[in-house]
Amino acid sequence: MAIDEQLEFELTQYLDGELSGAKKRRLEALLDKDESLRRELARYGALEGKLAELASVDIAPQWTQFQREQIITSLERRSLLSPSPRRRLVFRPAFLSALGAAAAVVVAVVMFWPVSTGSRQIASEEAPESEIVISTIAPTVEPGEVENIMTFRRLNFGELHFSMPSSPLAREDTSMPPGTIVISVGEGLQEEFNLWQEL
Amino acid sequence: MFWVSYRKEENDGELSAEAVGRLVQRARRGDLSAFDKLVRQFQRRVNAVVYRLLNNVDDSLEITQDAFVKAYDKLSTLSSVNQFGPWLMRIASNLALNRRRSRALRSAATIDAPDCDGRPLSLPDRSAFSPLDSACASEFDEALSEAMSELPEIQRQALTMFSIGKIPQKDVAKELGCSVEAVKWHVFSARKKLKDVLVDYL
Repeated sequence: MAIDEQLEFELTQYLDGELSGAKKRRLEALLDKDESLRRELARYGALEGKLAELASVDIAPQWTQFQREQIITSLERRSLLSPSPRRRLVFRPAFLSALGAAAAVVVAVVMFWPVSTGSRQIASEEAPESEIVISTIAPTVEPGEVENIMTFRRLNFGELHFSMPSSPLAREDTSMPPGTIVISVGEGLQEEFNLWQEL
Repeated sequence: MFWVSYRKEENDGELSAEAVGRLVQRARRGDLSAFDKLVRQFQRRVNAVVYRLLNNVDDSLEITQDAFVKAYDKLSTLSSVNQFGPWLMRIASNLALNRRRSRALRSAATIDAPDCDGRPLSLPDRSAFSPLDSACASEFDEALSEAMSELPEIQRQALTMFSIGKIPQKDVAKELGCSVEAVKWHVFSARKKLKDVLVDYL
């Protein structure tokens, strides 16, 4: 029986398990009665087996070992340089604890600031709006930039609004060193302390 | 071919897809020893496929290394941990094909220019293993390699990714930028040519 290209194609599809239904039954019927077709199928099968063996061809053991060391070493080096590359600095536990303390300071400032001015009037409904911003100059931020990480807005004595700045973070130029946390209340009051020196 | 060894190195044995999946989950949590086991498991196949795609020893070693590092970085994006093998092969093939394209562009831009890629100083000495390794290759293996190198590029790539890399045809199609039907035809054409050339061995 003459084997045309289409029939050969179907043989390879049969080997790959891609043939089904009527096409598969027709080919199997042909294979049953044609030895040359069976021989051709066996050749394709042997070739495919040899190709699959190429996947187990290995580079020499010296290279295998060397390559594996290179891969793991480069991953280890990176993990040492950046212990938690996927986690932003502001979400690290130590930073969050300190941030919580900073937030408590801000709340205290907000609660007692009107009292400390000596005027209860300022805590009344006529009190002007004040914005309290916590910023940080984190080591991951370019020198001279500041990330605003929390904003409080005091509308009056009993009302405190809190928001996280949405991305992109507001940034502004500053000459303060990395690690500095800045608490600004309105235009007039600004407190700075260096978290990293404290830690 | 002198770098290719036909000795089967002692290995940890083939891991089941579930075992691979467990290692992937550990590696995702930053366990480098688990990832090292994955490297051991797939290193041979990745090297084989990348080498067949690039036909260059230095590039193959570098791309294989890059493929594993990239896979580690992207582990969190792998939807099914049991599919790490095909996923890794696809990353490696993608990097190899990109290298091949950039190499083609570079050589087209600088005909006769010497290769100025520097080799890392700490590479092992090739002469330490080359003679024995090539002696282990059978006459058929050499004929097969030679016949493969004569195939049109697209056919060799399709055959390498599908038959050696065991990458599903739909993924091969994505990497090669053609239809699944076209991949089937390229694979068939490559097989037919190889079978005709190697008929005395089969």
